Amino acid sequence: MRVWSAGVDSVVRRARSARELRGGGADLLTPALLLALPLGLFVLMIVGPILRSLWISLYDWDGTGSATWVGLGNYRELFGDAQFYVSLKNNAIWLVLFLLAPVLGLALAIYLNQKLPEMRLVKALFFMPLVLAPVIVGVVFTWFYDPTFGILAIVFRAIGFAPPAILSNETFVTFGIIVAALWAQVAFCLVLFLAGLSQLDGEMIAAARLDGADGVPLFRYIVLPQLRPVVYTATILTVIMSLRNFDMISVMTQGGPYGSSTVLAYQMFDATIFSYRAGYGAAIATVLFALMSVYIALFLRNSLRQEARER
Amino acid sequence: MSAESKMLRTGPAGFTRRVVCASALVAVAAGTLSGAAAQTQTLTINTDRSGAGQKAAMTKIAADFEAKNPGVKVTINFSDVESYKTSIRNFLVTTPPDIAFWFTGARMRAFTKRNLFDDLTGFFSEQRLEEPMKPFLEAVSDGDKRYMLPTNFTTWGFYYNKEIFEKAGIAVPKTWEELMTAAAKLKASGVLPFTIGVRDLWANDLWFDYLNLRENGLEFHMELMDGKASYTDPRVKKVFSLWAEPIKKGYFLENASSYGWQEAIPFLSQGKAAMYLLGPYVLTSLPQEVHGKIGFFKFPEVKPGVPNYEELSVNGAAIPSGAKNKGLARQFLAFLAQPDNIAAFAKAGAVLPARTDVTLDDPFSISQIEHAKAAKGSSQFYDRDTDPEMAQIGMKGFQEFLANPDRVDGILERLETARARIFK
Repeated sequence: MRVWSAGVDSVVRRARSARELRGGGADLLTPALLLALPLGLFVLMIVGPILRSLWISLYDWDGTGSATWVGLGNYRELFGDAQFYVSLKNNAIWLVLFLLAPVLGLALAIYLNQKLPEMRLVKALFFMPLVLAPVIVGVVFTWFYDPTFGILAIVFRAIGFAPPAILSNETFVTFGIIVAALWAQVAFCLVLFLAGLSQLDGEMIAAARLDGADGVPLFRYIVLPQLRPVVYTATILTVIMSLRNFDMISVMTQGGPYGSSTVLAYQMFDATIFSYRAGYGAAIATVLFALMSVYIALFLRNSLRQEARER
Repeated sequence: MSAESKMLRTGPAGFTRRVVCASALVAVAAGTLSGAAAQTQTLTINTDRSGAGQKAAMTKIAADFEAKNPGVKVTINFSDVESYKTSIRNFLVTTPPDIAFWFTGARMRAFTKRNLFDDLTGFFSEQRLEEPMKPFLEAVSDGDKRYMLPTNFTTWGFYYNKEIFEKAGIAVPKTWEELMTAAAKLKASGVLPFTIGVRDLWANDLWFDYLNLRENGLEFHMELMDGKASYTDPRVKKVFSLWAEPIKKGYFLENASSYGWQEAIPFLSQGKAAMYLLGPYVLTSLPQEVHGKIGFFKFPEVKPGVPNYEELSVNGAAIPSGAKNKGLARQFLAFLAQPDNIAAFAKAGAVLPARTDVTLDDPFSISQIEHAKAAKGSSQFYDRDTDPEMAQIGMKGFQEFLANPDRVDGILERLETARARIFK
């Protein structure tokens, strides 16, 4: 998105200067042609489907046959659906707990950002979850939680407690899945922060040290401000990841037990595919899209401002 | 539609998928064109019977068909069962194959209602299949028309660990009381009576379906499946009170929703649990050496006087309305329906051929055919007999009931609300 708008800006600017060179005359053909492809793709692949999805959400449609116009009927039903509030609550839990990822990622990054040869191995170990597909992480954690054969159960039995069945417990199940997802998300944030730390201005830190700054003040006033763009990106991306999470839930519980670990994205899938209710699914998608838009808008506003500052 | 909603969720991944799909379409189109140029006919088959055995059997049948019909090329697209369930609605509308394998019953009617399958009514008399396929014709009918060729069927019942039964001195239970007594005895000796995995929901349906069939009979069961009877009917409540007994006494595997249906099988083979109400997949999931340890008995009588109804799930193949080579597709279905082919196809999947005049030689198949023949009537399976959305809501309700039997009233209330909305 950011690259795209920057590209458009420069194209427009260049076009403008070309016109000025030729002494006026409306030559809009070049920018129009250059814009056609990206804009066309954007409309075809992003805007079109979004509008169509919005449109479908106003119909009672099974995905194949004929559709019946129901206006806001799907939304009315959705807001009276107990499952919708379970999903919404779970989305909120996901959102809040997922914010631990940038915090833990930053802490780990600072710990791992030492110039020791052994650190390479340690870093590689921490990166590992990032290499695994989320589905694999989900399967592995399902085994880990297995109340009979899982490692967690073995540990609990070894210390004399009854093993918990995390994925069958309607209270704990969401937390169980979040832990698995966090494991991968922390690694993601860790990579971002390690990259950020390598860009730190060494002279500034040396100067601060000369002035006697150390420990927490050094981090708070010298390091953290320089990491601000990374913190921002890591946070927003984490929020978006938490909202669109679907794969882990699908693999680990299929939204169960009896819908208690369902989030909006999964409920949408369940309604559309298993209940043959494409219209209702589209209504859920629309609500999810509205929630996500808030964070995407924040992200865009911030990047645009930053670009304006840099110009 | 699902592509659009996926797009919202996945963004770039959805985009790539579209591009891949589009290029696949181009490739398929190109293939068809070049085929036409060489004066050959291509028959396209989409199937979810993709287990190693059935895949090999199907490939062989297709090769034999090609050999008998020079100039015909058969292309089979194998897909796994779960993803096939999600893709079939798309391909039936957008790129219909010449033959599509699918479930019969309500799942078939979901498509015939929308005119997505070709009428095959005349096919059965032409091919003289009416007599040998008689018990399976109801499953492939919508009104007075038939839309699919039944290929095979699955039986259901209790698979049990013979050694455990012997050690505990338990005979095969013939009635519900005997089953409960046996369970009590097993539980007292430290063996779990019933293993079950309900993460993927459906294994639980068998308990509901069988209790309802054995207590209230087939007619009421089908009324309930068709949305004509209420979930708050006292007869349904009776079923749940029967089902509550083994749950409350702790006869079922604890935390059953932590396990998929397959993950619950080791408890049976390792002797930690005694019984599993399921299909022949219990055996296909276990190594050959332990098959001898596992026995089978039918769901026992619950209410004396209620005839012996069974769950028999029939699978089949249809010709989509948009198929390009319907004549050739019919030829292929007739070829597949020949006794040798249909037997080979069923045997490869440990299921039974949908022809009464085909004899199989292995003892398990023989016993299952006896089991099916003894039935006075049959339903298919909860999620094949009722509306797909009702099935999804119902199965979640059953899953909740297995974990919290005390919530029965709330669950039935919810199912009834859903029924009233869905079957309006």
